[in-house]
Amino acid sequence: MIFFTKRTPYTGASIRIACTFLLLLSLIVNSAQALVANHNLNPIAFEVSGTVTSETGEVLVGVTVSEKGTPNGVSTDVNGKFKLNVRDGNATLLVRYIGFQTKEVAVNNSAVINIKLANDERKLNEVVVVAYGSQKRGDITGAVTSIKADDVKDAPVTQFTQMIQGKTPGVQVNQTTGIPGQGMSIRIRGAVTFSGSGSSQPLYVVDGVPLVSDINNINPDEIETFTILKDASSTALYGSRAANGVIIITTKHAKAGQNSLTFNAFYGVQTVPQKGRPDVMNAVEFAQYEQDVFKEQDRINRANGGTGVAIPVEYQNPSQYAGKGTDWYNVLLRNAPIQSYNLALNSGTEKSTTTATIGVLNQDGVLVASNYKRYSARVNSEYKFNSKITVGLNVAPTYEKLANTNTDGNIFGGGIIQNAITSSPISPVRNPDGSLTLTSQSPGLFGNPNWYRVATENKNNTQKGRLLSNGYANIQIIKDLNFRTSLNIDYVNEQNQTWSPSTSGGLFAPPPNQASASAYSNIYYSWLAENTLNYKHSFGDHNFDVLVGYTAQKYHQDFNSQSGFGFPNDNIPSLAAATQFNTPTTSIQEWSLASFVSRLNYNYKNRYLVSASFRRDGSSRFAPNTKYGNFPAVSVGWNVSQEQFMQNIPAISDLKLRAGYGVNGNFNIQNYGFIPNTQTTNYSFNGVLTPGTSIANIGNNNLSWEKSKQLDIGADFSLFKGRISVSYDYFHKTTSSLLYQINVPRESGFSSIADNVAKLQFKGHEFSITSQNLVGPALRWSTNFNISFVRSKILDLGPYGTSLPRDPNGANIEMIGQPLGMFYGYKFIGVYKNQADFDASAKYTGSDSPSQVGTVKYADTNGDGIIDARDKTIIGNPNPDFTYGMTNNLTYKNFDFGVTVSGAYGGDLQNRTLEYTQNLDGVFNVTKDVANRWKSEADPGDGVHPRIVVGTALARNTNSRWVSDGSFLTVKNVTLGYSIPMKNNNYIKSIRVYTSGQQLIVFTKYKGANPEVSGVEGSSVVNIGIDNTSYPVPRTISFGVNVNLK
Amino acid sequence: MRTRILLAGVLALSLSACKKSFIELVPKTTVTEATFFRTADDYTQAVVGSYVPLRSITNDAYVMGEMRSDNATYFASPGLQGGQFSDKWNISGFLDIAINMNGTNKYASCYVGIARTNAILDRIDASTIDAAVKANLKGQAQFLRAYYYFELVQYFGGVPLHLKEVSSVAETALPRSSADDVYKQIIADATSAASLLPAKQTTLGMVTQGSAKTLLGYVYMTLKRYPEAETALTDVTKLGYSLVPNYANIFASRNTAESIFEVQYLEGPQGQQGNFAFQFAPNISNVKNILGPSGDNKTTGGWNKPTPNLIAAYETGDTRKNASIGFSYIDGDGNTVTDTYCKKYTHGPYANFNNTGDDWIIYRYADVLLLLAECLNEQGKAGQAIPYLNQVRSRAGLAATIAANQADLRVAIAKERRVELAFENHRWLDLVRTGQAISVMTAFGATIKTQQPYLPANAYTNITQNRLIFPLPQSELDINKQLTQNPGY
Repeated sequence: MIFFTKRTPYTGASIRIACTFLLLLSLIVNSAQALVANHNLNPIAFEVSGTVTSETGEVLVGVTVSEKGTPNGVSTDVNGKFKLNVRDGNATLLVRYIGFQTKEVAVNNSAVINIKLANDERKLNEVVVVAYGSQKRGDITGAVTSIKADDVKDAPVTQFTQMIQGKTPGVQVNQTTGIPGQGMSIRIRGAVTFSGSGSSQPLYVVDGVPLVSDINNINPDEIETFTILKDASSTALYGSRAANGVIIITTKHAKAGQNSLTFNAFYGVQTVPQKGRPDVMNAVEFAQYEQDVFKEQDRINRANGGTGVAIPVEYQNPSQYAGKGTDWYNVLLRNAPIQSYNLALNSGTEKSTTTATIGVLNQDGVLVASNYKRYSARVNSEYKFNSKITVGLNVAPTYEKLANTNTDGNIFGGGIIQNAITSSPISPVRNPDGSLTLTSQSPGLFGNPNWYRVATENKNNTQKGRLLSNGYANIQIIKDLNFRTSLNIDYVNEQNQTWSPSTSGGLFAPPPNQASASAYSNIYYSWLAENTLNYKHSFGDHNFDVLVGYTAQKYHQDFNSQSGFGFPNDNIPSLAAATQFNTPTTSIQEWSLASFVSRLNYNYKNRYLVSASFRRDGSSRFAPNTKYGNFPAVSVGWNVSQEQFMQNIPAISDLKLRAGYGVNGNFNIQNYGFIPNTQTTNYSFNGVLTPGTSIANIGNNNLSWEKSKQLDIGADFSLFKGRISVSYDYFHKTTSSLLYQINVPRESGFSSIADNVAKLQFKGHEFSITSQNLVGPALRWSTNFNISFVRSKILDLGPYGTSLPRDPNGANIEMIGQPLGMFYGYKFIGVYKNQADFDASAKYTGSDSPSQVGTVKYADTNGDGIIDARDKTIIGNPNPDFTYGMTNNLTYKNFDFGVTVSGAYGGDLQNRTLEYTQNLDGVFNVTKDVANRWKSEADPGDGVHPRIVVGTALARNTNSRWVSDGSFLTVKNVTLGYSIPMKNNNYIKSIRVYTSGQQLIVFTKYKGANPEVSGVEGSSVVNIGIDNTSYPVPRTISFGVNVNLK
Repeated sequence: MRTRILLAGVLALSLSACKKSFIELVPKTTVTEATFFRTADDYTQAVVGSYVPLRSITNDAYVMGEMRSDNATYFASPGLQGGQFSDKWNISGFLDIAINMNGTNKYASCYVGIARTNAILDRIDASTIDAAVKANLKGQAQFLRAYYYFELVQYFGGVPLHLKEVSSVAETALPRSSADDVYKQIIADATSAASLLPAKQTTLGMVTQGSAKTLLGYVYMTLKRYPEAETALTDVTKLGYSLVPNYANIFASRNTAESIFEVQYLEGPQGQQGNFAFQFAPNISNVKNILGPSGDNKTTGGWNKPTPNLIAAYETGDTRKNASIGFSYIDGDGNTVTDTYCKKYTHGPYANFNNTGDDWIIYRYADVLLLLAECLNEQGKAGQAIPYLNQVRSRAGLAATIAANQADLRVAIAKERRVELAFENHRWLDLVRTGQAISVMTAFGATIKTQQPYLPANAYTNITQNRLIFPLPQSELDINKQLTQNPGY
């Protein structure tokens, strides 16, 4: 470790030193083997045997029974029995088992001792999986939360991230869209980057493998625990990938003596609630509105000396549409089933253990024609060669298939939902003969296809095969010194096919259109080799745990895509029938990471705890001047309750104070980003295509990872023998060198360059309390409540000015001194009610569409008497004041009941759907309240909706009328279960049936469909709080069963 | 023992990953700058890449070059809105502001071309490639750099003068140079290019000595340096160019005997296409009977509509009138509609919507003859000028000019350029060069608004000296604080 702490660049020489170091280690390891044979040769004096059980009489397998003060010890077998030779009849046995209180038993010359262990309510001895190992909860000095999958198992959802909503302080989990199998966004402690929406997600580590693919396709039924590492001291061992926090997932492994077969299944129905549906005009209202639009055009035309504009016949008699017309949103929706089946086999002996899980999931989307299927299997096996060597193999293949067309986003991006709700309600979905109409056209509106056809006839099918596999060996070299080596692979083969028939189309492009199709293949994998040495030893009251290791990971991606057109007809919905093809795309991407990891955990009497860790990462993504990064961390803890002076306060059963500081990074920057590259720039001469090449970007030899430094101070305490436990953390994080594709003057010949620019600060408080309100025996009730407060502030934006981005119509802005992602635009103050109001107010005088009486009135924030881009100001804050969650669990006899709620308070949302659904050009269907717009000085309407004026650009700019409070409280899950008594059944150990409701009720004043939305808008830097219309998140009611076979 | 073998194996594996090269990866599907610019083929590909911005510049050049003038406006387009429309309307009616995508595209595309030529010109002198190849490639790069700067200086005035490859953020921003300095650089580059380039290229469509001399002629004419312009343009007449007998054929085929500098397009999916035939077609819901493929042209088309004023400028019997202007078309339902549109570049049927392969001629021989006539007349050599003018008139089926004195001939040449080169993006720059822009456009604006009542009431009300050049894009001023905006914007 000493070799790596110097601050000079990590050159080839120091790599060789590291390699030599590892080679030396191997020599030590090998020679140490020779010593092993000479161990344990003490004379035998007294044999003691017995059985270990729990207080309720259950046999406990794998309990450590040792002779106190010696290394001499054994584990109980599958029947809970042990046999141990001790020094003499006066020896003392030390009996330790996870989840139980450690017990000391004097032998007192008894040859047979049966021991009962008491449950440990305090959970201090619970083992928690942490970076590169595990730790007893009582010894942890960082901010770490772990969740057992069993506690969240009943939710009828497809992704585990949906299950942990509302469960953990400091972890904001939002379901941004309801697309089956997609749409979860997780931000730990406010983590953000400027370089894309995906790269602020935490690092997922499954059984020790940092994943390179997404986490969505992991079957939640395979998971044993989630550990969420939040502060820098607990994540620092993941170095340049740790800045967004780390979620460690451990899959299920059978224990010795465990033999079971379990079957879990549920079937549910998903529906879209009425609340939050778009409130657009019906056919009668719309026809009246369009009649007004044409009257206004007629008036203007005549005023300009024209001959007038006739009102189209469709709009002359609005009442003819009473009870008729099309509700386009409703047309796209359906009630949809979701079903899941999982079978798990657990089998364990002293020698080997196996867990095998297979699962099938099938979710129809609530939007027509969308579907998600997942078939998954996992086999985790471990084999003990002898007491020294254990090898294991985990293999988990998954196949998933997603069918979903372009549902989300704004109309110009082709978002089907927004396009459908803004299209004409007087236009029918079907012809009188029952066949589907081709287009949705009404006079004055843009050409539109029949959006039901687009949703059902367009194809966008993605298939993804994945293999996640690890092989590992643990070798005990000498007592307390373990070597672990592993080889891991994460392989994904993704295939996508799209199809758009001639009967499909888009805004401005009503059918018939040219049919088109595309296909892509995206194959990527990463392999990871890890070698670690771990030494755990106690010298009297001094307990040491030392880790050193070396890891190497490489990622490779092959991407190929092809699109074509020129189809003779719509009969073959595949690229195969295309006759003309666009230039195909082929790309190969790679990155690599070579790292050294080390950690020292030390404690004195389990009372004073110190942990120090260090990682050094070298990555292909980092530029020559920044090739290596050092990521140190240190943390301390004090188990105050173990001090003598605390023994007089019996109410406090545990109290621990913690503090930690560390440095880590975010390496989610582009591959080869620092290298000036070339690109293909072909030209044709005289009709002949001629190859051309040009420089594609400006190089940057200083490009580096994003850096994050974090201080965490926390306390854990429990009262009344663990009945109430409380955890609190304060954190202060500074993130700097944020990568951004910064705009450069176009005069350079380029538009942007990748550079590390910004510095941000995050501060926050996290608080959680768990209370065992009632502990039975018949009625048990526990409550967990957690709440977090996160504040962000932009400290610096580098040499590029005081705000980003410079897109004049961006929805969010990053401004020095302000929180992240603030909304930026005009401040809406009403409409110019009359000529006097108009004359007295500031106006937009631009030549394109100047203000007039009845148009929108914005605040003249700079007081210069005119409204222009300089009056844009901060109009909202999408960052919630706090987020919170609460879970209640009750059991009464054979019944169990659980409720989980999750919410956020105080964040604003920007409903950009209104840019279209309240547009006053007369080209879209609009919300019902537009009927109350300004019509004349005598009839000025509600003062909110301006008059009909074609081309009023200003009204379509980002303004505060689109901003509203996004606070919400969602009842995420309610489950009621009943365990059927199975006393005398020869085959079935237990059966539990349950009903579960997901996303039951959303309490919010927000009028859009989903207050958790956070869409992408243009070139904004941090895209938060933006609603561009997304796939609705359904309410699901399900019925399930858990069966355990003997 | 088994353990030791396993351990040794694992360590050997991890050591293999210890090599420094493990974390030094280079792109596998692209060539990096470090390994490019070695061979003649590399330089050739770099020069080919420098032509590419011409496609996008030329495809939209009519907005600032023709719709700004009295030759063209646009069709009525009720209900349509948004920047893609208003930016063009605003340029046409002198209502444009510094945020305008057409202005930004021209500015940015020219500089993309300049950066590509700078990267070549920085390196080519020191390279060891064949001398003849080097001279030809260098000449092409210098011509292109000169052309891009000439576009910039004519439309925006003095601009930042980047003559070296930009290789760091610090080098991306420069202050504006004076228009004089920009012109000096253009003349230096074009003069050198004229001496390096051959009169004829093996690959048709690549720029030649004639291209460079024509560019030089234009530059000198713009600077009113008539004797130097006369030399350059007279040289062009000795390079073997000739007028294509049938006017319509100039635009119907590629790289004719008349073509001096022509931007090359290719129809199809290779990304080499233009779409100006669609942009100039009427904005109707189906253009299949005009252009071939079915498609809604409402948001694509309706631009560069011939003005009554232009139509009136054609003399009786002028064969160019029907070759340039369509007076009726058949709509999607098969009905004949009587209305005018620019059909000079319509050579369907095209296979696909919005995808054409027609080239766009920037300089051609008739243009040189008329420019030379103007040049001679301005120097008081009306007698020498008239034969050049008549050559062009004769091809159009017209009698010799009756103008005899300098003043009459000046009017005759200007009118001849207007109709001969209608829709070829010369009219606006001709008006500016000859000092006619303000008076002509003011008179035109008053009339056109009565003929086309859908034009905004405030269009053509702000025609001043300041409006003879366009604003620098606002996005540039925001980033490069050394820039100053043109007065009046």
